[in-house]
Amino acid sequence: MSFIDFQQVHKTYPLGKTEVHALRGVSLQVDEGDFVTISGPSGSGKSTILNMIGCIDTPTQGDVIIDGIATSTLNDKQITCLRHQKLGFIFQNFNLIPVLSVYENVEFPLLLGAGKNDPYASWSAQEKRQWVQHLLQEVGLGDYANRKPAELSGGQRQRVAIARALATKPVLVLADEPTANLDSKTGDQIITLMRDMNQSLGTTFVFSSHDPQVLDVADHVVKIIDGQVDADYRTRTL
Amino acid sequence: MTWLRLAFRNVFRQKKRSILLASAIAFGMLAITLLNSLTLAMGTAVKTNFSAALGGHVYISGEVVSPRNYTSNRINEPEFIQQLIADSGFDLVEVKYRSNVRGQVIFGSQSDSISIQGIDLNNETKLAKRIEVRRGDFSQLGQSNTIALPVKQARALGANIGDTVLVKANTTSGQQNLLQWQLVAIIVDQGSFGRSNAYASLSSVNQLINIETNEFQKINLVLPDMNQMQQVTDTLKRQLATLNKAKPEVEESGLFSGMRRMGGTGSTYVDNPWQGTQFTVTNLDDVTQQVMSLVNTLDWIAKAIFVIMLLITLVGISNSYRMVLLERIAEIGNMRAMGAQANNVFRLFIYEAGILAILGTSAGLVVAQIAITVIQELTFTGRGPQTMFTVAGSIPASLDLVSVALSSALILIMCLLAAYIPARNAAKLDPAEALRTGT
Ligand SMILES: Nc1ncnc2c1ncn2[C@@H]1O[C@H](COP(=O)(O)OP(=O)(O)OP(=O)(O)O)[C@@H](O)[C@H]1O
Ligand SMILES: [Mg+2]
Repeated sequence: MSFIDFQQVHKTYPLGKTEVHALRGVSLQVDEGDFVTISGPSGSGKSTILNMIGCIDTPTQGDVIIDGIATSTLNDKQITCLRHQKLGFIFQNFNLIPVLSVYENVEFPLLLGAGKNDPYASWSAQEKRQWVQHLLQEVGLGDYANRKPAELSGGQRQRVAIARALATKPVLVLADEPTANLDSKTGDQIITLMRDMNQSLGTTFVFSSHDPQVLDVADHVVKIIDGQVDADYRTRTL
Repeated sequence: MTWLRLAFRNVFRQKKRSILLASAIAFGMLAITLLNSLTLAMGTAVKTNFSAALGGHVYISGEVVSPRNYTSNRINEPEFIQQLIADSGFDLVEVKYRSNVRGQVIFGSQSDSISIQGIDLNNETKLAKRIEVRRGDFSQLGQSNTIALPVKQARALGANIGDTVLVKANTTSGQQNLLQWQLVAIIVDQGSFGRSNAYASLSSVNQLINIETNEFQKINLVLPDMNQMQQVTDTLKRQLATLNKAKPEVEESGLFSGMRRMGGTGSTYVDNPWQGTQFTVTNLDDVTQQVMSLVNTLDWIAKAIFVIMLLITLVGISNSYRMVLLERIAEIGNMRAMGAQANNVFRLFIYEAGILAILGTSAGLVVAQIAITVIQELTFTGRGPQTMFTVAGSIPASLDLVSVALSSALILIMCLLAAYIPARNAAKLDPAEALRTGT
């Protein structure tokens, strides 16, 4: 069974007196460990799909099933827990918390009330510290732990965001156009870093991009046009 | 812990805005604390002064009608009233029999006017202990025709221990009288309202004002507990009324009406004379009532100003947090995406407002304490009516912990209320919406 399963998902947004049909019957599956890219032109519905995978938006029609659970059956609190335990987020605008240091930003998700099922629930403070430091090393920011986000470059901030998204050892990390605010060289480095983390930790990555080049790196490509799946193929089998 | 730390950092994120809000809170706290402690000090000073001036808690005075239908302040049935007090079985610390008169003390070519208290030293022990004797012997006031003068008057007259001074005063019926008394003690009397008394024996003062030696003008009862004064007063009034010995009460108002009632009305003509003494019973509360109601009014005005200031501050805080909400939409969406619950976001806002309130309140309190210390150090000289509000020349201001606790709690609650709606809106933000709109 796939970790993510979209079954004929529709999404309409009210817009004034009319409606925008953002998704028109999208079905797709994402397997654990995959490195998936959602590509498509602007306005095609990429962010809408990612928001639904990330449980921050719900379908108007159809089912989004995550790890065997239909998200429509959960309340806000349960969905928040699900996000916390199983998902990590990387944003186009980095979205680091400006008053926290690099270290504290990465540590932040670990401090959000661990539940019994959280992989890190039984860790000691020492283990958490080591893990955060390890992640910072991995993303190449071992020496920047005490900096504030404002003191970092865009690429560095996105690296912090990657480390933060991985802090709770999620099954899946979502990245909505993580390279859009970066120059192409830095963008490539970010994609490479995500790929490295995907392979070293086995974390599933789903990210969207305009850039046709990233299609080469992905295991699994989903092309969206006008709210519908235009192509869905694997470049590699696991 | 995480959220408290984050709240702390957020408070200092917009330094200017936070300092402004905290200062407004601090100012409110400062104002209410200062005003409160000042009105409280005024109250304390008024009670202290009056109770020192009047030498007790419950006062009994009497009026007698002369053959020509003029009243005079005296109690010419001493045994009757002494018996009544004894029979009532009150628990009394001291019973003081006093006569007093404002007279002119003359020595050589100098003279000075002063209030002379006639005291019975055999009966009063506390007074001798309280009064600081500079020269001479206070206990000699037990003999007649002796006087003790405050340092200031003795110096003005140039009189010394052993000197004979002339004392001139009006008798209760209005004639002038002149006696020769010996100066036996020079004293420092804390007095009241910044004024000192001269002391002489009760019998000598009685002689000066021309009443019998075993009589007196008033009785001051000192109670072990101030709170009993109303009950004692009422009991005495009731008993005197049943015996037809109470002077009919006249409704009178004004700042010093209580005091006037206590001291009698002076010599007036009456159409329907009575036999013997008609008694009037008053107490410290009656006397200070008018002044205290003035003090209380001030206190209420202060509280009203505080509430208005607080409301204005609250509007400011509420608006600020609405701004904060707009500024942090993306951040809130991001925290929610990472797994922060809606109530975490709510609490973050509430914590921030709470921290702001605590910082502001503490700052206000520190400044208030400094101001109060300065006020305590100030000394006031002079004799105007303002002396009513000082004790030994300074204002007895102190931090009133109860009112501090109440105003702090009020500020805290109001700040949390002000942040409540923005906090709830922040918690209700839809993460998807927040992440899209906030960039
Ligand atoms: N809250 C909303 N209200 C109205 N319309 C919306 C809303 N969110 C998205 N849409 C519309 O839904 C469609 C899909 O939007 P979406 O953001 O998913 O596109 P996208 O593929 O991510 O585009 P881009 O590459 O520009 O980010 C667009 O037509 C967009 O205008
Ligand atoms: Mg998008």
